[in-house]
Amino acid sequence: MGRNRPRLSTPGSSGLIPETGRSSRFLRPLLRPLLFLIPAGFLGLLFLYPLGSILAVSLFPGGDFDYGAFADILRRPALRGAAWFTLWQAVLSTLLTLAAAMPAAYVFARYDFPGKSLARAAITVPFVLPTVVVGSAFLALLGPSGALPLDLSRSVWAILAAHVFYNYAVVVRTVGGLWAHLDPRAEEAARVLGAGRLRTLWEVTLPRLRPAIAAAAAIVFLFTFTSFGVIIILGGLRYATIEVEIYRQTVSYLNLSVAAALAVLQLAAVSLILLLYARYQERGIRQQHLRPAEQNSRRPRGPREWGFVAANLGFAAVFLGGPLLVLIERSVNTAEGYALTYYRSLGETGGTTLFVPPGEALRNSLLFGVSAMLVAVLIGVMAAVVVSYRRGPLARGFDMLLMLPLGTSAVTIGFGFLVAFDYPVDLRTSPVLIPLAHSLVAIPFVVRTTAPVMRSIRAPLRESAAMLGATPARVWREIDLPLVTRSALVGAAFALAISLGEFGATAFIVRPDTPTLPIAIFRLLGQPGSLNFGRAMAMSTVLMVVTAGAILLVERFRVGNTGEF
Amino acid sequence: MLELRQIRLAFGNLEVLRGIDLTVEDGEVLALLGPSGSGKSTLLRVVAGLQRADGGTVLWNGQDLTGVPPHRRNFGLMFQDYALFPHRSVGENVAFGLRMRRMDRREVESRVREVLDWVGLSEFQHRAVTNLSGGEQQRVALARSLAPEPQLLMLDEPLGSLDRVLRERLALELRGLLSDPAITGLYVTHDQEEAFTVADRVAIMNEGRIVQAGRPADLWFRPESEWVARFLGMRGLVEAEVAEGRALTPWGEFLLPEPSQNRPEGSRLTLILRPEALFLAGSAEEAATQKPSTLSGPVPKIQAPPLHLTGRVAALTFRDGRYRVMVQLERGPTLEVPLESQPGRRVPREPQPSKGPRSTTAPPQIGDSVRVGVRPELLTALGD
Repeated sequence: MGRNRPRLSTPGSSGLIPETGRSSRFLRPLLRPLLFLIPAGFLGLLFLYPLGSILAVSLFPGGDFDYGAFADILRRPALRGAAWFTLWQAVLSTLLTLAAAMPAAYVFARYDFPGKSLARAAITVPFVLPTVVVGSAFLALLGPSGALPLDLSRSVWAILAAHVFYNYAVVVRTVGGLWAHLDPRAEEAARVLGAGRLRTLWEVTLPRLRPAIAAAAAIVFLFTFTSFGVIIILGGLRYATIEVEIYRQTVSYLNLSVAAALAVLQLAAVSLILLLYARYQERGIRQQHLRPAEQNSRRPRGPREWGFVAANLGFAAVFLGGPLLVLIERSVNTAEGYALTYYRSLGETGGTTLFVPPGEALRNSLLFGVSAMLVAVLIGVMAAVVVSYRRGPLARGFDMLLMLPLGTSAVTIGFGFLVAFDYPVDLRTSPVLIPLAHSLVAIPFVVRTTAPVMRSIRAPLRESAAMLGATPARVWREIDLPLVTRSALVGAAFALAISLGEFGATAFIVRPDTPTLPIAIFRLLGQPGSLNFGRAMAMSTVLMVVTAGAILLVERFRVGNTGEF
Repeated sequence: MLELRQIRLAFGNLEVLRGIDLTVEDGEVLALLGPSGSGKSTLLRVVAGLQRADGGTVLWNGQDLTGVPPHRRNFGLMFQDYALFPHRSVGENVAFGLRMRRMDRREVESRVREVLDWVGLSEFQHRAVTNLSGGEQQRVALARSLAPEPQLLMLDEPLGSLDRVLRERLALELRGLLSDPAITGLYVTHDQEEAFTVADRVAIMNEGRIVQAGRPADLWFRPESEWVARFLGMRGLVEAEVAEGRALTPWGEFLLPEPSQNRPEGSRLTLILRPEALFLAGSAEEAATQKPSTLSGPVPKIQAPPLHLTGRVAALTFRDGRYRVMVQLERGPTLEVPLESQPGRRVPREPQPSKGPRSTTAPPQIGDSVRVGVRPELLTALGD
């Protein structure tokens, strides 16, 4: 080994490192509670208080107890129908998504083929698109002036297709993610023991995939159960979910108590689903032997395997790429042939009932988006620090509180803002509410990307820094901060993308003169004329590009597979 | 000099440290050896200041360290899986402790190069730590803990996660690095070979207590308790009764070791039959025909002794150039008996199935009855 021997400390004297910097000792008792109190206060004021207000409006509409609103829902066929439709379309959407995406999950888990990582990134794009863009794309494809000869826009098929389009990646990534790490030798063992292909799939593969299938199904069900943007654009007057009814009762009929009762029912249903899901997953916790994905996949062999891979990739390309290409095509397809007329007209108000030129909506969206991102990252990182560094019931309860906005629909959040912030100061039309609502939706994502990274910083890492002479504050700055920053950037990009595409909550609290992109698109789609339709397509294309850009940034910052999204 | 006085620690009802007294002299490397769960890593954490003890004191050069936080103790600690900072390069990892001591940047630079050179990694300064081999990571960790010149270096299972061959090599390298210049060290391991290789002195821990401490050879030849003997891998422990200079045991009779010979008749003691004290004294059939054995090893004067144990060959293994015969004693457990190869004699290739009378120079075969001789001079009694 080396030639030079290093000097080493001579024994004797005290040899301790002198104490430096006492300030942190005085600051710490002040800072620690703030770390917990700020996010808790934020969620209490902007989430729990609105939910409480909804409950109050549903049960005490005039100040006195009155369950009439709930009775109304049972009595009126339109409302009963909405509840029933919400349920069955969600079940059907979930089943169809699983059926369409499971083969692709298998292809991505078990086979290597050229361009695999690009293909995986590409199929994720629909999932991050704003609901309004998805609605517009399917309107462009299936609508009255759509690319296909048949008009399906007012049929349930358009809704189901849009839901499958939207959630395809959830199943491929969730189920495929586990599948890729399952040792294929278990299947080989079953085959050697005499089980046929189908028998092996049924008795070995599917049971092993069960936790991932359940998780994917729960997510898809939740998303489609609370679907709003897609249905309000594609469903017309015939099909309405609970979400759409809440919006209509509020905006069209000003029947706040019925809307509140619907929101309460919807929250109860979502909580029940989440509870059942948690029970189900708890029962089935089993340690599985996982292997690195690279060891479990291989090149397809023979025409049958190549054919299977090609068929699935082809389906994904046509089904996921088709609507988006049609959307872009519609945005440049004018009466005078292909031109950028619609894009150019985004700067004008002419021919619309918007108070501002549609182009200004882009500016509003970016402004709200950046503010929402800053708030979400600030509050989210503080909350992540609390849930990952503290133990005990308080931290666990706080963790659950943080996740609640994820299970609450955006419509409920927007409606809650509407009924909560009218007294003592009427804030309902203040533009400040929009980024706050957006950040509320984004905070769970920020927590879920940063907290796992903080938790993954193992104690020995901090302890070795301390042994090398770093004070506790220095340990945080030298070890935790650099490692967490990247994941916080990922969370920030997510927050930005969420805010840019947010529609459900914004629809309730937006002011006519400060529309966001999704709101402007929705309003343009509701107006007659090919110019407005073309403008909606052009704006959807812009929104699609901006959102996809934010997500591409996420993929650049992401290190490894840390984080849960 | 590190002194531990009556260190006690309990996690709930579980007593992890039950009154530890220990001294590590300047320049001495002491190994804490014990099975997992014996409390050795916890003791290390107490010395480091990462874990507060319920009672007792840690003294460094006579100064009580209670209340001195880990970052002020100027002790180095090398973790089991190294805990290298993944977001920093090799050089930055090594520089960390120096920066914490506010060393001048140019000094840091030269010290980092000096230490990396010392562990043989001078080319690695700007490499990422995430794609180093196990042995390289171990050296970076060592360099990082040694760079700030800690007063005491602690190592927690530093070779634990490496494979056997690499572990043996690195243990030797570590010994070299720690002995010149002499570093005061505390070395935790569950591997006795590693402890005996690296440390000047070894303290054996069990269930929160130090059961015996001493130089490796002392521990090996004079274990004080049956637990220590068994922990060090000695399987041939037997209760014996003294009778006319012989040991009467349930396994058979043999001569007593010298120091025990003047014990009173009828007194009882526990004898340790280590592999090196045993030899194959030929087959049982030969004993019947009274032919002198040619397999009796380098002490040929002892011929098929009248006092021996009998048994059958249960297994034959080959390792490090020699056969070991596992003999299932007729009236005792299975013991390992080395089969020494004699100078000039070729170790036979494969024990062939015997056709006709077998040559006496071939190793015995599984199932053969054999006699096992005992060399009294290599026999020890517990507590002697």
